[in-house]
Amino acid sequence: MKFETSRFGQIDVKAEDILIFPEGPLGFPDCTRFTLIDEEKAQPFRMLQSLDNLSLAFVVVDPLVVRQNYHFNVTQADLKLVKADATDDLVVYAIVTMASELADVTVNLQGPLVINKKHKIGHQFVLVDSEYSTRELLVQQMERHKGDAIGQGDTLTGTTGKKAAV
Amino acid sequence: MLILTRKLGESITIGDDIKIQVLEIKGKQVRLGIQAPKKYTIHREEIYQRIQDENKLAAEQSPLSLKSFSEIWKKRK
Repeated sequence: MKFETSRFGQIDVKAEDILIFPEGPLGFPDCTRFTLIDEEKAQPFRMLQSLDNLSLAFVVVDPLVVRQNYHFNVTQADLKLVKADATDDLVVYAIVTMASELADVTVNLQGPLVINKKHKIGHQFVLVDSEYSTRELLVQQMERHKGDAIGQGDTLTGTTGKKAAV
Repeated sequence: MLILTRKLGESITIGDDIKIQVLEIKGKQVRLGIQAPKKYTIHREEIYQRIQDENKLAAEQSPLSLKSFSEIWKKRK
């Protein structure tokens, strides 16, 4: 399927590369179809391009790049939002808010995007009572948390009785 | 907007399946208990609003070149 995006020009997106956010990211209820675009040499950053509003694209990053021990709990009800039974098929991205100075670039760790890779369904979670905010300074966070243990469990942890990750 | 006065322990119901009860009143703080089916997501308004605002800002601040940004970032690392 071809789309004329304002940022990347014409892109050809395979059906299996279309991610559906049934409710859209918060504030964008009409933008339900997205695709992830990797620009050359842009890692670890990726673009989440809307296929409904072709001028809309978010810069996203694996939150573990920012905070090596980033994690939050999900309930069975949360998993249902992305049609998942367990956390295995899920990937998490954080939206980056760019700035002209690198030191001012922030990452939204409180509103992570959770995507079910298998069913291509995504949802923006809202972390209530969380230690994370919507405006974590990217560089500062990385430097402050350099010593944090890596791979201490998964980003997503099941909670409330039934364990989500099996 | 419908405005109702409730005392401590009293509730309001919305439709058949939503109940909101005043659990505690302490100075300027009110604790509410909410019973609603799982299909409804309930947020503190300010958190919801903050994430919505941040999404809008993030959408506007899309960089000219992710590549150059990534390069500066890697050097920093």
